[in-house]
Amino acid sequence: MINPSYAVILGVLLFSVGLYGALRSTNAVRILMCIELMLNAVNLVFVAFSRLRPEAMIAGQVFAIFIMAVAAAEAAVGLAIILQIVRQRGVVYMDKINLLKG
Amino acid sequence: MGNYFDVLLFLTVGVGFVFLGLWVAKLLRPNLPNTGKQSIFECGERPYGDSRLKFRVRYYIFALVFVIFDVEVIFLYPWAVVFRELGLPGLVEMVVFLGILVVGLVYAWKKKVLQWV
Amino acid sequence: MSFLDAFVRALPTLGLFTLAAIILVSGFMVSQVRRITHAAFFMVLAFTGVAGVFILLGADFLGAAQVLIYVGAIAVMFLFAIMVSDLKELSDNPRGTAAATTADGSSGAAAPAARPDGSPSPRGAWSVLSGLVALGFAGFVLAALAKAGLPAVEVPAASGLPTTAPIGRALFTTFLLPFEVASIVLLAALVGAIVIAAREGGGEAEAKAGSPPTSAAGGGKGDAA
Repeated sequence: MINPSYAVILGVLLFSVGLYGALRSTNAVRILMCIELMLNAVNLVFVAFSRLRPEAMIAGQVFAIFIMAVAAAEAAVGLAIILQIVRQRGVVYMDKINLLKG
Repeated sequence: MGNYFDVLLFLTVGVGFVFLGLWVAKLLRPNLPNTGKQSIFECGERPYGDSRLKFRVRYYIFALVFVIFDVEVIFLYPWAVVFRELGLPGLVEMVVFLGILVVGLVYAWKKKVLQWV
Repeated sequence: MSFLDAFVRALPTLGLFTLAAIILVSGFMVSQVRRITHAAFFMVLAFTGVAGVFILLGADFLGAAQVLIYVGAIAVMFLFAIMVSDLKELSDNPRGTAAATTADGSSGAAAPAARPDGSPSPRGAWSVLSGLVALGFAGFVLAALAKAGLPAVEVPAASGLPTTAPIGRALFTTFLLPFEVASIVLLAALVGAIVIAAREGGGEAEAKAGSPPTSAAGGGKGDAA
């Protein structure tokens, strides 16, 4: 027997760990990794709530699958953009990419 | 729960085997380092240059196409399980889904980004 | 014997706590380790832990999907992206960052945090601020959850209930439209990423991508100005 509420709390904590990393890092690839962690935390909360409410058992898991698909698409496009920035500008640090600043 | 107990056992034994083996080997082996032994192993060749060399961006596109179709497989799997129940509508729905994704594959093909160079 | 019985009954919860510790520590290490490749592998560890939690919660199909998509595909894509770009530029090199910051003063206005030379964390005050934001977020949500009251229900851990067939049924009836839209999202991602990443332009672009990073790592002044 297991209490899914623990998994909800774990999801919240994982989301804040990812938020901390995404805010703190300057490396664009690392920021993208932390965003993936945050999406994973959201999945965790979805699944935990799907277990807490039996009538939402399947809906929560289907949502999690859609989030995985969106996360894959987001990582694909995000990494492509970062690769192109690295090739064009030679830097990967977000605070160095200030082309729009006057 | 019962099925996953085997998984847990397998995981414990697998991880334990690796670390136990490394630990016993560390206890038994003589420690005589020299420069030849400590150099990076590169199939018996003498290593040269930096190991962090840059690959072509083309290889990233292979990974990209793989990821997109990996996600597609995740949708295919539950479909295959309930395929008999769904019948013809299910088949049509999946054909539409696959058709949309095949457009992307055709685009990648036409753009000639799938060629291994 | 009763002690063993209690231990077996507490085993899923103990497993959840162990996985939680692994997930949180490796998630934290993603932003702490210096080399970006190590960060990618810590990310893989966190993803695997989340797959374990899914299986403990009885969502076995999602656990398999998590391993297949995140560990098998997304992490590989990250590693490919790190490989095809210049790894030296991608790793958070504190010396290089400090030199680059002193080279152009304009970025100092955008990031008010001063970076002491040779410090392992390049942006001390900024990192403290983001830690406060994350802690504030966690405190806010946990307080809201405590106020709402999480139910103390116990569900069977890793219940062998079938989830794949119900997910398939839901996917092709209730969630049919999102399912078809998901394929369009994936198509857009595929085409968009190819358009962005495949702009190679022969040797000229390669030379352009190749030479500036090395000069920036060496001197930095001319490139930053």
